[in-house]
Amino acid sequence: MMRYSLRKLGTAIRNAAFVIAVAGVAAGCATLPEDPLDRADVLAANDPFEPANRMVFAINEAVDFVLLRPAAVLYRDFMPDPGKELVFNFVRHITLPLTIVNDIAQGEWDRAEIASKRLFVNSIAGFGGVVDAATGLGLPHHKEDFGQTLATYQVVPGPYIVLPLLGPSSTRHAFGRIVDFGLDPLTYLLAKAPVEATLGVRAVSIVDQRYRLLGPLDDLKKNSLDYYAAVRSLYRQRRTYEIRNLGDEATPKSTATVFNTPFNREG
Amino acid sequence: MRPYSCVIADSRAPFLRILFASLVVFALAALTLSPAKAGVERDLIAGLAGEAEPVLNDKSIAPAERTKKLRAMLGSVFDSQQMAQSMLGRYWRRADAGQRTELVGLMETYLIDVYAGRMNSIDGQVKFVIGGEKAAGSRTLIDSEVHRPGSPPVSVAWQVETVNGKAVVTDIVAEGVSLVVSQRADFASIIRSQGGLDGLIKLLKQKVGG
Repeated sequence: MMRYSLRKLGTAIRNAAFVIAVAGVAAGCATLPEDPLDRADVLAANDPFEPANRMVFAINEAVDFVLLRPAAVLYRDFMPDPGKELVFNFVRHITLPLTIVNDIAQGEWDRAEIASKRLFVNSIAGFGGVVDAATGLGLPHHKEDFGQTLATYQVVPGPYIVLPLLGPSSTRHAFGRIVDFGLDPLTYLLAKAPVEATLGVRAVSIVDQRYRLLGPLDDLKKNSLDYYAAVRSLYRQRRTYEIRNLGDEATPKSTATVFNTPFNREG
Repeated sequence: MRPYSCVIADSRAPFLRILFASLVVFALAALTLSPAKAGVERDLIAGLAGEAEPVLNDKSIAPAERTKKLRAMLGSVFDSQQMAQSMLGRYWRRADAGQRTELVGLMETYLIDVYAGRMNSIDGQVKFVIGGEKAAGSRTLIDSEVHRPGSPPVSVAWQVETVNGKAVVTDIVAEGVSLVVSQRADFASIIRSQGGLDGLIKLLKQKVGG
């Protein structure tokens, strides 16, 4: 009886959430402008939920302002550089299992092999991943997620979406995140550990990431006219770069960038 | 059966000889002309890097003085007319002569300010390493890496074009992020939502403090 009513409650919550989501999307949907130039531009931006996205973006900005950015600044000022390096190594290390799964899903056997060897070497010789012994042995780091795997199967990114707390995304990337949670061996490892361990690991990853973005985001905020549009463009360009594996250390830089960078000219 | 080269050199085959001779001339011309042409673009970036490096690394120069020097350097290599045009994309055609002049001037100041500021904010000793290059039509991409102690190198590709016989920079792509593409998105959003080209001019004026 108890279980039945709980299930009913669950269904009710899900239905309510669905109704709110649909209403939100309908309210948030931008209408296409009459002017042909503006219309072409709106279509190119591929951001049909712009009003809703801007709202979520503003909330994320507020959270960032009171919580994440100050945490990253404290981390920058008080964590000694060697400590930052240990954290950076560890944060990258724990993404490797998921990268291996996605490398295999992409048919990238060589990269899966490099990531597996790297995981093995750094788990043992790197004291559980806090030291990077593998890069020196010719096993450079790279990262893959399910959104990138979908991209290699020609799935289109879909409209731009700003996720609460998680930030810029696309329908493909957002869906990939959900699949990644299920695919990631770390999820199952942490499920057996105390909640504090999960929270700790995630918090450390977030602070490290925000610390690395301090310079670029402060610069963008200072130099852009419409910060929201600038972030949207930055997200898309970086994501394309990552999908083509151009930004990672496993791709030789000198040949990678120039030969794969498209020329930019329009109008 | 004589080797093919003998047939070409044979005086009984004048047509082949002329063809062979003209091929040699073409090959020589291609050899002498193309590296010289590709060299201009590379020299521009190498020159900029060579000039900027000592200015950035000499910590005895006052920040204001350094910014002034960087502005002058960037001003001589940026083609603001070309950049303004690609950054406005389709909206360039809609701008009238007055708006165009005003936008090119404002964008020049804005871009030089942004880049001088960016270069000035790099901590520690900087080293620029010029890498490979790729040419397509009138455009050449020159790859480079910015090295700083304690952080991984940053990849920066420079798009160089020859405009009116002068090699100039028309885009900068840092770690996959293009200056022109980013600014186009930023400016288009302002044009659409904040009063068209005049709205953009007004905001740019505020930004450059004019």
